Amino acid sequence: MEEEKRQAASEERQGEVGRREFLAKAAKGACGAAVFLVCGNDFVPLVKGAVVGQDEEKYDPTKHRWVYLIDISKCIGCGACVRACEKENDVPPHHFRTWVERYTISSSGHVEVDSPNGGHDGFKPKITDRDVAKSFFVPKLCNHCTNTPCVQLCPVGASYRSPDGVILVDEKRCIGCSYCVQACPYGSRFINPQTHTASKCTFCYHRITKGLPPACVQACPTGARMFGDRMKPGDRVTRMIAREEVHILKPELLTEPNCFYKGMSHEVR
Amino acid sequence: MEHTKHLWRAGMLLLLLPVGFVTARHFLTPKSFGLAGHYRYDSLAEYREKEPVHGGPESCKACHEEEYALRHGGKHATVSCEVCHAPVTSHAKGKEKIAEMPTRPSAKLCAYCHRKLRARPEKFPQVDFETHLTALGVAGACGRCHASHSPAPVGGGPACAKCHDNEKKEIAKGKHVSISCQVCHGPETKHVRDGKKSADMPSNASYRLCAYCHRPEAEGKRPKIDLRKHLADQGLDRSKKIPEKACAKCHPPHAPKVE
Repeated sequence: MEEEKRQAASEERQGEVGRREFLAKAAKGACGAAVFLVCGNDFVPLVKGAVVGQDEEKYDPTKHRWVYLIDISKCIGCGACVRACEKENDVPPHHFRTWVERYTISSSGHVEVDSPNGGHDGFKPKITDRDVAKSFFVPKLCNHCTNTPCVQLCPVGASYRSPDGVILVDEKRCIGCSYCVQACPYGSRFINPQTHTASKCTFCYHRITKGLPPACVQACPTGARMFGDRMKPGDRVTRMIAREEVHILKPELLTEPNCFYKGMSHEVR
Repeated sequence: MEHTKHLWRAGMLLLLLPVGFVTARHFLTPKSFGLAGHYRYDSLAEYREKEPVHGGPESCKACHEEEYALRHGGKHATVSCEVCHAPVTSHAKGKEKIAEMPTRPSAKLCAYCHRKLRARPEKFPQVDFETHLTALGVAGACGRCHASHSPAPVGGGPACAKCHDNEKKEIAKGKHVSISCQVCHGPETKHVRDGKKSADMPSNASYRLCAYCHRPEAEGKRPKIDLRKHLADQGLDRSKKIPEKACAKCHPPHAPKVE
């Protein structure tokens, strides 16, 4: 009898909003309202330059959730993305916000990975003694994880996840301790030798918030790199991720990446 | 009662410390810190301030409509202009040109995408650059045969023969039968648009064109000639301008003979 009563009580409780839950929700709501009131209209006006097609409406980060998709079978390893990223974001030489790896797998299962200068200068034919069973290119970049280790351990609150799901670094706060560089399991961060702060892929935040695709996506000649918005109804990339067979890198780490890979071989790490 | 002073001091310290901490924190924490999470919210706006560098093909269209259309209708339709040239913002501000746009017709640029690699998808057009260029005896000159804005594999024959039947017959008789029209005449896209003649075919009848393949240093199996000596024998002085079609006088280019 006691048991039954307790169960009934707990079931009843599930339907209601508990005190803790209420407080948490209220706090969230208050935060949202504060953000809207203080920063809702704070964004800078757009600069008019040679670039056409910029969306002139004000950007609301709570109405977007950016997502990235790479089709490995389409990548030709030309490195146009790496070069475009370098120019778009002033990436110092031999440092990469995005790079291309070449996987060469022998028939016995031996895996060789090379990425000369991150694929910036293209690839030369691979010289190997083994007989090659398969070979392909894998473009890499920050995975913009939902459950990201790099943000959790930043001691000064410089690394953060924006409301639209982009992992960014506040260069004014970063002290260059490089904890995050070591924490990232995908190796997508580096310390910028000019600013001495952590630097990484921003999904070209200055572009996507103006309705333009990231520079690497625009530069990709074969459409291997795709960019989408999960909160946009009928979004092509979101649909592909939902319907087709896509994978993530290192799922065992439970980082919940927002970069997805289509046609990924199991050797890819 | 003798310890009142000490207690008073300790009490004041206990009170001042938190007050000091709160005051210091108020001034040291950036204004927008913590609005949406454990970070400075203004940082987002700062990221947005940066101006885009790449504009995409649409940004080039305003001034270069012809090249845009050519590219758009061809095999390079998905290749953004800035991939081969440079970011639009380094070349224009609004509609005003601020600097020359680099055109880089080097083989290295083409090799980025079209060098034959095992890792590339098989269906993607690839050439073995070393043998392809050596066989042709040309170095770093893809644009001679392939139009960069709308490239096509050099087939020449059937497409050109539609209008140039005589030349087709002529060439079939001679030693140049295996050479595509484009090798000497250049890409047909400069001459034909939508099945109609759009411009005269650029003529190149300089002796240098022949020298390209027949100079002693050229690789591949083909007749080589010491041009300096040969031209001198024919009474032509290389220090002066060699007239057009100098070679063609004795060696008809479509069906050349060695005499």
